[in-house]
Amino acid sequence: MRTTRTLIIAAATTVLLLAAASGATGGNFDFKRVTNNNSTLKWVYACGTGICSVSWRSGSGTTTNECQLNQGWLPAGWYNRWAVYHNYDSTIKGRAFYVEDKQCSTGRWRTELFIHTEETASQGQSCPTSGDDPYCWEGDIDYYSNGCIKLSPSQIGSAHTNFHDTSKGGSTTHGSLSMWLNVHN
Amino acid sequence: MRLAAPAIAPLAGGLAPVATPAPGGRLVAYNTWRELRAIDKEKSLGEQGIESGDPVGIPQIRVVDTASGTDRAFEEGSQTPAFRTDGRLAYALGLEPPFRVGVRYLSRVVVRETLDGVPAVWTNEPANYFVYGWAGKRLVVYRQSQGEHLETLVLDGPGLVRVLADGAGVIALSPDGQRALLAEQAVPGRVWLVDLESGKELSSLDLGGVFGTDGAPAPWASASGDWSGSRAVATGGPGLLVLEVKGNELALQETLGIDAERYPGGLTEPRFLDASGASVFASSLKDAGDGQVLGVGLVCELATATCRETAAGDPKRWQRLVYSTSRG
Repeated sequence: MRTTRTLIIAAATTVLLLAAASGATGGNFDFKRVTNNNSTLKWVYACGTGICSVSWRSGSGTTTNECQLNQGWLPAGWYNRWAVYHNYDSTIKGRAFYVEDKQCSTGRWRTELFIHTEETASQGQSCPTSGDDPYCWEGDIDYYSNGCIKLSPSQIGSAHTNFHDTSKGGSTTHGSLSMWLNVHN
Repeated sequence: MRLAAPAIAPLAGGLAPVATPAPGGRLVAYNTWRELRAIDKEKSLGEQGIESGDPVGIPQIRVVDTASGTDRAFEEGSQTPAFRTDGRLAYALGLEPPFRVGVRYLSRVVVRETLDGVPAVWTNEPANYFVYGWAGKRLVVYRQSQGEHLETLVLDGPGLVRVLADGAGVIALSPDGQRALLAEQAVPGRVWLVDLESGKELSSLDLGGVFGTDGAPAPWASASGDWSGSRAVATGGPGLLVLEVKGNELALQETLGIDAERYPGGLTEPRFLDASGASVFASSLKDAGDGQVLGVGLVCELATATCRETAAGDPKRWQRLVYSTSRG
């Protein structure tokens, strides 16, 4: 018979200080990690005298250990954007935003990280089986990833439109851009 | 005994042991890392003047003789060593030693018959490989690609490469080295048992079905666990998963939850501390407040569901066991 218990652990704690993170000056993406398949990605920009944002449901990883390769959600911190693709055609396909590699607190490197969805290189859907097809958005389970931030196909289209909107602090370029994504809890 | 360099594997992480013993236990091979640039993880690389293509570190295997203390280095770019029962050593060897950010770390899997032997290449195509371990005379290897997508490969010999599982990692090999217990990586919930010779799936367990759908985060299992006798352990779901493997039948025996606020990263690399399967060591990251984390080891007694912490410290030098994933 299967049982479920909670581990009881005795320990002491140590408190250390963390340097404050810097902030971006233009529009930037902001990924607030809540759960692996239900977090929030925002496009944040200055408007009038305040800060405005557009947000989308998003997911990342299957665990909350940012240092766990292939499963941990995207590590906290700032990322530069390296490239934007409309019709990417590799393991990841379709609309994909390539962000910097990141070293996490244990020194491990998380690499080849993207914001992407599940679609074909031509931004279509390929759903040949009744299971979880890699280029088919079946539903909530697709917000999980090996670590990348994932959005639904319609959401990634909206995100793409917003970060190109110069009236919202966006940029029309597709190349590298500094301070483009902030990941935090 | 002090090692010649810290044991750390920044590219392989917990996918393979940071240090692994040779048969007999006197020699221990371990991963090291020569950092070429200090990195502030809170800042973007660009803010620190680091662009795509810039080298930031070099992995390198070292082998220490625990009796004499002699410590020798292998090639720069070598990582994830695994000893076979006859002393052969397999590892991944980078085509170019430095890891460059934004550039896939291409390597080959090589095997030395002896420590001083000539490395023989076992893979056909360069890729980002990590050696998991030996299953008898077969080699189990990971190939990582975009988005940290993971494939588990079986190498039956030089150039004899086949995909065992796409999108999955190895919890553990069976004690006889004939089967592997796998965990899906990008979607939580499924573990399954596979025959390594045929690649045939023998049984499967959907953890999502086992745990039910009460709105809680989906349960998951992670690669890099352990298997002793008819009992296997993996990290995942709420903390530790204890699985029963009887013949080819797979069942979830017990789940052991962990305080997710105190240990936000959960547990990694659980290992049975003896053949009885009564005690487990696992690594974890502990929330030390103010967003800071410390590396810590936990020794857990499964019968009483109690753990004790080992000393906490710098997460870059957290405690991980010296162990072998090879079987058979």
